[in-house]
Amino acid sequence: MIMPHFPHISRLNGSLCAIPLAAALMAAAALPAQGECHHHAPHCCNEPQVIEVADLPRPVTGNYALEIGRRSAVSTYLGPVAYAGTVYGASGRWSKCMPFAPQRAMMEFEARVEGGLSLLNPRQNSSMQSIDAEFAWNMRAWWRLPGGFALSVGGGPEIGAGALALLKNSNNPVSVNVAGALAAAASASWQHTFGRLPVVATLNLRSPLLGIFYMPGYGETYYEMYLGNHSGLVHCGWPGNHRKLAMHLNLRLDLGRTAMEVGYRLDWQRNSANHLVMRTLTNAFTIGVIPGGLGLKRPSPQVRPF
Amino acid sequence: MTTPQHRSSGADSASASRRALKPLLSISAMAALALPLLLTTTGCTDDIAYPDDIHGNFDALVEIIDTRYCFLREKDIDWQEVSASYRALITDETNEYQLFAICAAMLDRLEDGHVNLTSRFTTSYFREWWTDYPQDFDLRTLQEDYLEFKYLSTSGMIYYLFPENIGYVYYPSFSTTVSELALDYVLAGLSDSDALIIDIRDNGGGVLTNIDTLVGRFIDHEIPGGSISHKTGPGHDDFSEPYPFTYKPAPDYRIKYLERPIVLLTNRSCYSAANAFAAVMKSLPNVTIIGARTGGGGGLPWTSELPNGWSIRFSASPLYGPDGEITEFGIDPSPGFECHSPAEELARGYDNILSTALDYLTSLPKSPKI
Repeated sequence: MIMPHFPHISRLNGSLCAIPLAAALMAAAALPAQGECHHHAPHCCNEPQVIEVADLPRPVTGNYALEIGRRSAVSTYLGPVAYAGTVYGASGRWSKCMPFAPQRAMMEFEARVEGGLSLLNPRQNSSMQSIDAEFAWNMRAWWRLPGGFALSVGGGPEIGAGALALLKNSNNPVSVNVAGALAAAASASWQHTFGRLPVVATLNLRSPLLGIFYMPGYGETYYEMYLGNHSGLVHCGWPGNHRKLAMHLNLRLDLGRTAMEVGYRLDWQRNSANHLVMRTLTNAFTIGVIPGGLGLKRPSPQVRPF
Repeated sequence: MTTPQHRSSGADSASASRRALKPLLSISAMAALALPLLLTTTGCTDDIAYPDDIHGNFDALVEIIDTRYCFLREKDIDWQEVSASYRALITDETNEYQLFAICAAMLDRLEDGHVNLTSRFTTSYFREWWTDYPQDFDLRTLQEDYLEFKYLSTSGMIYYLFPENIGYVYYPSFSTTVSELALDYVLAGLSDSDALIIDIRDNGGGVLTNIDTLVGRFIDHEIPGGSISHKTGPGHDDFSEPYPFTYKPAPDYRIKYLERPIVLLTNRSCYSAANAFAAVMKSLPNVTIIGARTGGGGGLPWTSELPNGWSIRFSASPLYGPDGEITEFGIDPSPGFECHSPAEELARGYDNILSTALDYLTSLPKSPKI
């Protein structure tokens, strides 16, 4: 999670949150901020300033990262053997505060793609291809805790699409993974300054609660679907049959005009229906950049070119 | 004695230590929060729990066939008994080549041409579905003695117009995609013929969607094509309700061959997609099948894998013909039209099946052309 910064706002006229899953949290978050200040905000927020929502300067904090890691995958639609190999990915996260409670609520959009061309079976005599794309949006309420800690909880929709391809197979060469869900999201962050370098360590978690996902019949071929039999392909997903955990532990170093991030991502998913199971696990190292920095360390006006 | 200055220095030192430790403790706490999640997720496996050794690979193969093969009931196979008899042949000294031979012999008991075990060194194949029967076809005899090497060919088909004004199309493999445009040219070239012979002898199958392309040229309305089922679970009786499907006529701007007699020539080596093509063509009122019973192959193949990387392909989804009958055991010729082309006659340049078709079609009264 990247806490958005909003340097010119202290207290705002609220608006309503329309996202059902996060509504309760947002209601709590919309309470008056009692003079609290965003721990990333560069200015104190105690000025009795009221700004119309329409005029809010709510900058988007963007984070762009590259990932490299190892993925293991098994889909019993393709076969019972797990494949593993190197995967590469790229992700972007954009966050901003909510206008109705800028010091307690934020929203975040995340997009990520990941792929690997050569996941190998244990004997290393067969290869599988893997590709995934994921989009998630969520709203969160956040609280600053003593000791530089902050906590956020919320949720929102997420959709994912991907495939595992074992092209040597006959009528079952690809295991498609498409899912959409309302997901819970949470984060814990801790801010500290090492010398003059502000550092934020963050643990992000996201997990679907209720949604839908695709899973063909136990022995159903794509030819049968081509003929028109589409029944039983979409399943209601709940934690009993559609489990997923997206975890990202990162360390962000605010260098002033920009910030860099290094981290570790764990992405685990398990879908089961029709006596079939699809499971993937990715462990990846991430490195990213946050243009504009985190707002924790501003360059002096003298060095600003403009 | 400790001076206040010293005490202050000591307190500063302790405070500095705490400050230094705090980041480490904080990051450790967050990592500790993440660790159980990591262990929880990485500990879950759904793979077949068979080791990659001689026994493990054999057991994995037995389970895959037991849970996914679709014709155990129809073929009255007691798979547990069959597998037990071959498991008895395996010892700790059995090497990979011997294991492959044992597995291949066991799979032959399924008597299914769609079953293949593939390793890096060879692929098993049950051949008896056609080797135990007469071939009833010789390409050289056809080309030399009937087509006189004057045929045309396109998109995997060869075509010819007999002097009796009977069109002829030979389609040797459904693996070759039939181009709609090429089919237009073929049928345009034969559009003035009185009848058509479609020869699919020795056609071992291929891509099922080619059936749509071909059948669409011989119908003017949607017809039942049969139905397909699939396994819904590991039990031997876990099957979905057969899903009916249809074939649609080709668009009006395509060239069709309608309301004239069509003969389909078959032999034992017609398999899989060719078998399914024969099943649907047989349901058309103007089509007569002449030749031998087809080889079958009425189950859509599925592929799985053993822990050692060997691939196993087998029938998984039964196909039923328009009459609702299972097509795994082949399609019979039309009543009264079963015939063969003995090898000695073929060697002398006489193809009895093709000659029977020509005689039959020339004996029919001429129908007005559309």
